Amino acid sequence: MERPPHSHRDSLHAYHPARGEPPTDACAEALEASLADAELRAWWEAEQAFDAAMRDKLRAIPVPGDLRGRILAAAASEQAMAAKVEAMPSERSNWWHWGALASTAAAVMFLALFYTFFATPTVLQAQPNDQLQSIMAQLEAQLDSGEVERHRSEDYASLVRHLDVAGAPVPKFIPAGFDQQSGFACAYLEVDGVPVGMMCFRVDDGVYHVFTIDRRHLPDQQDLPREVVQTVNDHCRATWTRDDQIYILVTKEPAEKVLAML
Amino acid sequence: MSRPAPEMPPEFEALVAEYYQSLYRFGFSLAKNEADASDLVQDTFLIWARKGSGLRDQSKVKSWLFTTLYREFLRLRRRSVRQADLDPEEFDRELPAVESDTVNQLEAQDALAALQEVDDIYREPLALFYLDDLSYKEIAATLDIPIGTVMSRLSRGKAQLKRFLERKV
Repeated sequence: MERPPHSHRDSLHAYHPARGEPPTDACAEALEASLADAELRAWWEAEQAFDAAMRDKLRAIPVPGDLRGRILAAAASEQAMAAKVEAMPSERSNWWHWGALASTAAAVMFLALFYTFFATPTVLQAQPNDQLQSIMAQLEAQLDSGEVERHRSEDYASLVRHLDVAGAPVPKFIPAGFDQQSGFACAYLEVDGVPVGMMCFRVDDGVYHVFTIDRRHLPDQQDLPREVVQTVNDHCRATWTRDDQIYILVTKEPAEKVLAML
Repeated sequence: MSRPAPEMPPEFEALVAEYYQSLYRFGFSLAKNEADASDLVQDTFLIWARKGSGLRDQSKVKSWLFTTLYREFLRLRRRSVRQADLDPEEFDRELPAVESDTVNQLEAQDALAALQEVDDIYREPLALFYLDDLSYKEIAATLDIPIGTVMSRLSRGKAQLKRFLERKV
């Protein structure tokens, strides 16, 4: 007996009459062919019975009983977190417009030269204390080791949520050079018993790590209202405080780029 | 850190109630484990909460959700797509005659296990076809492939599925 044309079988494989969907032209042709072809018709009937049996079996797969509740809880939590993120003051300002770009670049170059060659710690400018310096060194060592386990996402709200759930400090301010779209990973770290939230940003192929520490964990650290920029080994770091948080920006990009981000 | 979670709008809760089970089963067929499937469903609804609720054509909600879950799956796991270049006719010649009665004798988990053995590119349309009752047009839109490709992949996928089912009986 001649086998039914496989093109008819292929067409019928995708057709589910009970769904009420109109058949494609190819399906309609195959259905018509089945009227005159007993073998094709028998095959089609067996196929429908097989599909129905598979459908019943697969739809009996149990769904976790708490999944619905978890989805609603996560959505509500994210809604709350998104509101919190939106409420953060934006560090972006109008100086980043094209019209001011040239003067900004000049200022950045001046500051870069100043910090690189002339800036020395003075009693007038507070510095990161020994404990904070130690933490920064350990954080940089962890980065260099490549053993930091990061949560990766292109969705900034997801990164914030991850840090929040982990109990890590979430940055309340984002440096001006970054936006939420440039965030790509985060991690919870603990150094000398101090919880640290790490948020990673990528700008123009440069990777920047912003570490956040709650000031209550380092009560002896003085206010750092101005960013303190240091180059240690091959890392450039900027440190400052704002409200109840300490921020550390670490990168292997040059100091002038760091200054442009702040 | 914990804070009282605000309630979600009733429309969102209704949407979750309507689709979370079918999305989970689709997610399970892709990820092959409960934890990842649950995460995929959760992420899909979170993306909906952020972006999808602005969808104007409400008739496309279901398709949007499945498409989003599928894209999330692809994004989170780089697939190594093995383009099995098999001739369906060759498949059919060797195809075991698996009847519906045979399937009825199986446990649901066995049927799922057989489905999960099917190559990714065939399993995806099969899962949408069996688990979620998507039309072939919706399957094509979800997987971003032509309708003709849906048909041929369903055909080849069923051929593979029957092979794996035969081993289970």
